[in-house]
Amino acid sequence: MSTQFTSPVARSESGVLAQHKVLRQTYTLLAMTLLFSGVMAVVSMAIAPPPMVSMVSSIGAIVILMFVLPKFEEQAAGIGIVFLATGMLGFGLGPLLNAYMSFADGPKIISTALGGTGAIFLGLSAYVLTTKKDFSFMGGFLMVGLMVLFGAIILSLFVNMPALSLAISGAMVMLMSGFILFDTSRIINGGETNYIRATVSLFINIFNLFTSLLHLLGFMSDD
Amino acid sequence: MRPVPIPILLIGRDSLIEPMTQEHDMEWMKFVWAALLGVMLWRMWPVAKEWLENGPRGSQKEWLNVSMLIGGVVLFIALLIAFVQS
Repeated sequence: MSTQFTSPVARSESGVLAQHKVLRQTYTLLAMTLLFSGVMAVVSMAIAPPPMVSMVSSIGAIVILMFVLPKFEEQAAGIGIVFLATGMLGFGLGPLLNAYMSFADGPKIISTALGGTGAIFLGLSAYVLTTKKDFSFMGGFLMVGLMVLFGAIILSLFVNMPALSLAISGAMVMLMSGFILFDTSRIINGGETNYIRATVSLFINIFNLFTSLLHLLGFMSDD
Repeated sequence: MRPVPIPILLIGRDSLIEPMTQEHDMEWMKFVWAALLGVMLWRMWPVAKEWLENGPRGSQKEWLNVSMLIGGVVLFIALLIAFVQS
């Protein structure tokens, strides 16, 4: 009898411990990659590479995340690949940040976007971590929303419509907020057990949130 | 349920690459971004379909909760916009 009672409890406790471990490892790796990406962005701003270099860096990061990382996400080498990709993404942001810095209110816009991104991420994450609510029901909605946004982005690449571009940024901020709820909830409820994958998901949510917020604030500012 | 696809990276945005492509005669780069986004879209479709068909459904109360949270984010962004305009 005692075995029957203790075994499920022990399993449950180990499950909770495992989830806490994934959460701790995810946030540790996320903090380190964000810091590294930030440093690379500053380096890129300082050396001001040709636009081609920054674009190749961003495209390379996407290719690495799409095709290389899935092969290494269960191995320690995956951590190095995450740093490589996030560093390249940060480096690719340099010219964009330099362009914003050339505005009269550029530093204010960038710091507000950065602070706003941090506040939204921390606020939504804290809500999920505190309430432990399951947001997995948002999965289908978020996926479809993302696909619609992909279509709109492809269209906006070839049609010069500032209103569409602004609408995309607005929709992106809301969608990424939803993804932060969804991804964090998956980590704490056991839906995501790989901290490398979890880190990349959260990193990309933050990255997209920041660039969209930057665009919104840059557009709405007096500059 | 299949895992959520990681590459939801949307840096290939017109607002982000427009200044660089225009200033440096790199219009062709838009086609590269469009192709990458197309690949992402193609890879996402089966996952999205599966989530829609077999994913958990939320109650009205749960969706109301999400709406309030996203509404809070929208209000916060309105505050940030007012701040940069001041």
